Amino acid sequence: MAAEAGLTRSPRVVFGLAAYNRPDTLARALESLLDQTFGDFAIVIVDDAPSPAVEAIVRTYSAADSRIVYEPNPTRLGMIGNWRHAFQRSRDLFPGADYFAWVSDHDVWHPRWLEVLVPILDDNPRTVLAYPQTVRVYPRERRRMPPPFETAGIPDRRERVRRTALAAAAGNCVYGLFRARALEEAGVFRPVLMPDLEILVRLALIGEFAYAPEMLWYREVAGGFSLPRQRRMLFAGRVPPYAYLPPNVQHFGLLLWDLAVRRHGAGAVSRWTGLKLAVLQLRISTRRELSRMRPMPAAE
Amino acid sequence: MTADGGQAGGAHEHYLRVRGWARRMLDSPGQLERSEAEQAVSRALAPLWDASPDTIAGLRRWAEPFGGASAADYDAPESRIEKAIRRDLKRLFVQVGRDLFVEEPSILGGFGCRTSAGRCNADTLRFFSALVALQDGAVLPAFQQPSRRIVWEIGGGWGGFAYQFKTICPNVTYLITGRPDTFLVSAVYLMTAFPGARCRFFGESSTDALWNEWENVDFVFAPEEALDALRPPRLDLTLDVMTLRQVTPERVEQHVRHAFETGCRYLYSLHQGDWADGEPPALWRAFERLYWLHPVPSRVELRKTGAEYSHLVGWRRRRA
Repeated sequence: MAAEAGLTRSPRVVFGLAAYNRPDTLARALESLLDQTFGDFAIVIVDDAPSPAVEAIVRTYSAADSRIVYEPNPTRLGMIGNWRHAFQRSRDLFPGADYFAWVSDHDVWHPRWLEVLVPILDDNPRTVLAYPQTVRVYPRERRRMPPPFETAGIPDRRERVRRTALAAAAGNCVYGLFRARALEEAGVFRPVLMPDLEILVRLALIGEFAYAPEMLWYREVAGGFSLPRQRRMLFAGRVPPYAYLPPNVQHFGLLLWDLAVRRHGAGAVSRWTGLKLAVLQLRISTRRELSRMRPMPAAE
Repeated sequence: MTADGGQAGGAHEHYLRVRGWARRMLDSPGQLERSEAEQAVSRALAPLWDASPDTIAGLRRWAEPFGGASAADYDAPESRIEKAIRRDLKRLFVQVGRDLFVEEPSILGGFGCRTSAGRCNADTLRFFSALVALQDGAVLPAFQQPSRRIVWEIGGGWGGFAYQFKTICPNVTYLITGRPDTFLVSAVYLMTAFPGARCRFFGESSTDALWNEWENVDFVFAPEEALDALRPPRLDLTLDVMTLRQVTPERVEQHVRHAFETGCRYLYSLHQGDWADGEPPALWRAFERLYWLHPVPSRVELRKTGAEYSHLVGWRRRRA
């Protein structure tokens, strides 16, 4: 069902849809993407739990829309592997695309999502990520997320890293619109817990994050966050031993290795600066974790 | 385009034009059977078929049969409702600012309490909360762009929401369909509030000519009976400001299907009352086959000023 032949030229945007067994919500998610008022995009679906039900839904839409590519995975890759695969296949198929976004098979994108976010990246070359306000969708209600942070207009990479490690709502930001080359440079998803926060810290080294104050993404909330759950979902097979360390320590180790030792994705950063940035990340993220663990004051 | 405060020049002339047209529409064959609630409104509006200039000068007070605010509630200074309005308005301003607030104009007997942002009554506040919901639903910005859009309000009430929407989003052609007698209030109100507005009435020209050079038209008024004959060149937003709750399920289906078949991307519905057990109102369930339902979280519960409201933005499905 690879449909790249249906597109006469590279689209400006590619959605990488990492599917995992949600035939109940896939049609709604797909329709919300196909109905974007900015139509210059392709959707690359990599399916980590292929089933006749999912394939039938995709065929229904791809028959009428050549912007859809569907690729079932022969073996399960796990969430990190599938997200990496979604990005990699998107780049393989559409290397000329400027922007990339990970999308799920169960959330919903407002028709104006691209219409609002693409101009932000077009107009601001230093911006590597643009994302909107989120609406959290619970089974019986919807809630507006509080206004999130942004690093637009902050040229100092150290300050961007500090703010990102301290305040980024990674689960929302990571579903934003990325400058594809910056994502490539940052290293996509690494095999650690909370990989979304890790990649955001790394991206903060490269550029700025811009926030669009419109409610353009509806995020399904099902099940709470827990590290054991992450370990089960993120890795396909055996969980690596380091995944039992605190996530921020895992992120520190990766940053230290990449920036100060291996010099990968470090850009113009020296080893010494790389070491300082890794330590900064560890310090800030530890403070963030400690503040989360602090008990809330009892209600009067 | 808006009328200056206190000036209602030409209102009676507008009324005479609208009345003549409404009579012709009522005399046309194929009139729909009205619900009990609609018949009650028609009975209340009956005196307007023979209205004097003085009556039209106080037209705003004829909004009450539509479920609108009652002018008498605002006669006493610092009444309970005034205090509640001030409180709710302040809370909304804190959350969303004042950009979308449109005060009640003084024309045709406009009433309300004086607030820091201007004259305001329960209708003003309710319509303001609807505009905020459209903003929160990320719909409104699409109507504040240079390219002209067409908006369809079902029913149209007394014209109050159309007035606010057209003030915030002037670059739209605003279609209202409803019972002919209701236009004695809504069309006259809007033509007076926007004295420079270019208005068209269904049946005054051929059906095809109704949409000629539509980009230059501000308001189009049509009876509900003409729904099937209305084929606008585009339709971007359909509004139900507590109108469809009064009609039969068959007529709800007819309106929603018309919006869908005309390619309307968004549908907005204002519902009075809370959800029972977290379930959307039955009316909204009727939209679900053709539109994806996206309830908009309320900013402020307006229960102090009379009722709770729920807001829905529907997105057109690709497949019916």
